[in-house]
Amino acid sequence: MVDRYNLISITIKNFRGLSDVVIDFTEDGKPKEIMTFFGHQGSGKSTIILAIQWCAYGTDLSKKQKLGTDNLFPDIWDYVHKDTMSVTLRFRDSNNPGITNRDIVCKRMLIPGRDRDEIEVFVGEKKSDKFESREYFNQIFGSMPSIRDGVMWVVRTEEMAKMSQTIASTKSSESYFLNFMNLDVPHDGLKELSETKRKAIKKLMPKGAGVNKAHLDHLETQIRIVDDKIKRSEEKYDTMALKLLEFRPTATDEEVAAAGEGYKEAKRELENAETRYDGEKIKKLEVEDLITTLLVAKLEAKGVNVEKSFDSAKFEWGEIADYLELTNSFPAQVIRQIREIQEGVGYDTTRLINSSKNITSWLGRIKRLKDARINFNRRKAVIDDYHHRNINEETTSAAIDKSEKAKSIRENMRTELENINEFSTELKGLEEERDSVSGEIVKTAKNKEQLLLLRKEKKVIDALINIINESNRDYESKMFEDMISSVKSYWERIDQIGTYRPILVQEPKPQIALERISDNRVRYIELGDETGKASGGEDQLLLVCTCLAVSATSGAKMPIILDDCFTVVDTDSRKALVNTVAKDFKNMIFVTNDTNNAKLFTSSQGILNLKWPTVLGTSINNKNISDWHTWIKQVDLND
Amino acid sequence: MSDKKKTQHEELRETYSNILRGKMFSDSTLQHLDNDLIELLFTELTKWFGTSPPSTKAVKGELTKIVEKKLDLKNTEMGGD
Repeated sequence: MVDRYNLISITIKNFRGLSDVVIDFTEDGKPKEIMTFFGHQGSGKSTIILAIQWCAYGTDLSKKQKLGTDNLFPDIWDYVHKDTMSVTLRFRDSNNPGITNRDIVCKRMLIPGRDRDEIEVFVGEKKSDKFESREYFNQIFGSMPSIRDGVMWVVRTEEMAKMSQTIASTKSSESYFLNFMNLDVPHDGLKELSETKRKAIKKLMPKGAGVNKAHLDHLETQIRIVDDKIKRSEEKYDTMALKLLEFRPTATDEEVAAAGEGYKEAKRELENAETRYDGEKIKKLEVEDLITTLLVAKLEAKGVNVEKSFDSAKFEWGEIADYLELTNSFPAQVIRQIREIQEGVGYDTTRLINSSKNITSWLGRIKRLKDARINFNRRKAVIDDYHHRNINEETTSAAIDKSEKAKSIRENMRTELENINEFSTELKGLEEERDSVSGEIVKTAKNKEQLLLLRKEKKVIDALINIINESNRDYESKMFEDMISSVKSYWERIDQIGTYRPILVQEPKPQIALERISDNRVRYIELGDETGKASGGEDQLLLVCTCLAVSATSGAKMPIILDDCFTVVDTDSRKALVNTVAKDFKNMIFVTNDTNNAKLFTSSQGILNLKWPTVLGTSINNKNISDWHTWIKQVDLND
Repeated sequence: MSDKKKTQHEELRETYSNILRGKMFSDSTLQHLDNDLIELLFTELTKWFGTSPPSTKAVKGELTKIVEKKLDLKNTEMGGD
């Protein structure tokens, strides 16, 4: 049983600038698990990568495309197909690196005069037939994604960006969410078997059974209709399940949503306390009355009897001011004003005398003011605590909204599930009726026994097909969820900054994005320029994590080839990335033109340096490169 | 039980096998078969999962042998017949 393959060698003929090149990736006959291709621009590494892509997926019908003949034919051919172009990849079971006689050799050729590529697969010395060869290619490389230039296992940033934006779908035809676990193989085998049995039954069925036959046909049509209804409902259910992933509240969401009511109540109490506090606060217009009341209260406390007087009445205001100053109870401005009265002709004490009636109410007012302030401060502390926990109108509203959406989706899913159950019951009834009618027809058949046996066999086979369909669907759904969790898990292991975390979003389109931890702000993957490079280190890192997660959950067999896709990721995260890959995958090729990146890969078992030593000449062309492990050690990356 | 950590592929196989086994042993049609025959079909179907080489032709061949030779459907009451 082969889980993963190591790349043993590549043979390239008449492909772009390479007329005849063999690169042997083994050392002393043993394959490398993690390798680095290092070379500056124009050194030929992109051509090697393109050759791997072409071998995997073949020639694009459109000549101008990346995998179109205009881009692949050697320049000297001048766009005319002059000779056979071929790329051969040799793989070996990574669990049995010493067993060479089971090597799988995948070869793609484009022969002059033929419209289509041809593929060949050898397992050891045995050549596979065309059908088997196609199955090998599909299993090792996967079906070609709908994204034309994207080859999953040769991942550049632009391809990963597309991956992140198409991954949020379990439909393999639309997405990079591929599976390499042969889910279709038993299904297809059973389907073929079922069809064989159907034909055999049809052949033995008595002819001219009249009404029963027409009834049977009608039932078959009804069965197909109900079956379609079930499929549509299941698709709806799957779509909703996917949407639920986005709105499924996290523990934090639940905490925030649960605190929502408490927060609202606390907010209401604070508003009431503030209103009361504001109402008790002494207004500017009341200050004079308060001072007058305080003054008369002090005078009364001292036993001073304030006589009624008018402007002309004279008092010893200076003495009163002296006394009041001694008490330290009045602001200097008030004392000054009292002294100034001395300079006047007299003072009308009517107001002072009237104010003595207000003493009790002012005392009550001041007490209420103090209470209101204490109450307000307490309520404010409660709200401050909520804010400290990032609970506010916005977050509670978002969390409640999310929770309600999740609830609504769940309800819709329940409804759809009820539909599925209802249709399934209807289907079961129809199938039973069909079997009964069919049974009646069989009774009149000459080969009754044989027919009965065939029907039983078909019944078992069809049951297995249904089981496989359901199992595949459940499995893909689970793997999709695992893949999303896996992206998050790789991110946690590799990211050394901690500002963002990955999330799955559905709007504006389903994709993997980043959420800023501090304020839950979503950042979408940006394509920086026309070359499609992800613009930031976080973006690049997210794409690499997505790629690793897909590889881990899809059962991929090819080594992942990361083609210079983390150029601006911070150094610490890059180191963590290399360590994680080395630990988890043990089967990967890094491609880089960056000296620092190349130096990082200390865990690599070899670096294919495309800066050729003088002894090999300056070009990769027409070389049999089997000794690069020897001479690489002599090449200084700083050179 | 070995303490050896499962590989990614082993975990995938285990996940799929658990799903498939649950469905096979609770299927109303297959319930007419003996458990050891369901087990035989289960083994046949899971053995192709994630393996290499994959082969639709081989699966079809093996399943044909089991369905026609080993299940003894002639003497099995399948319901509805």
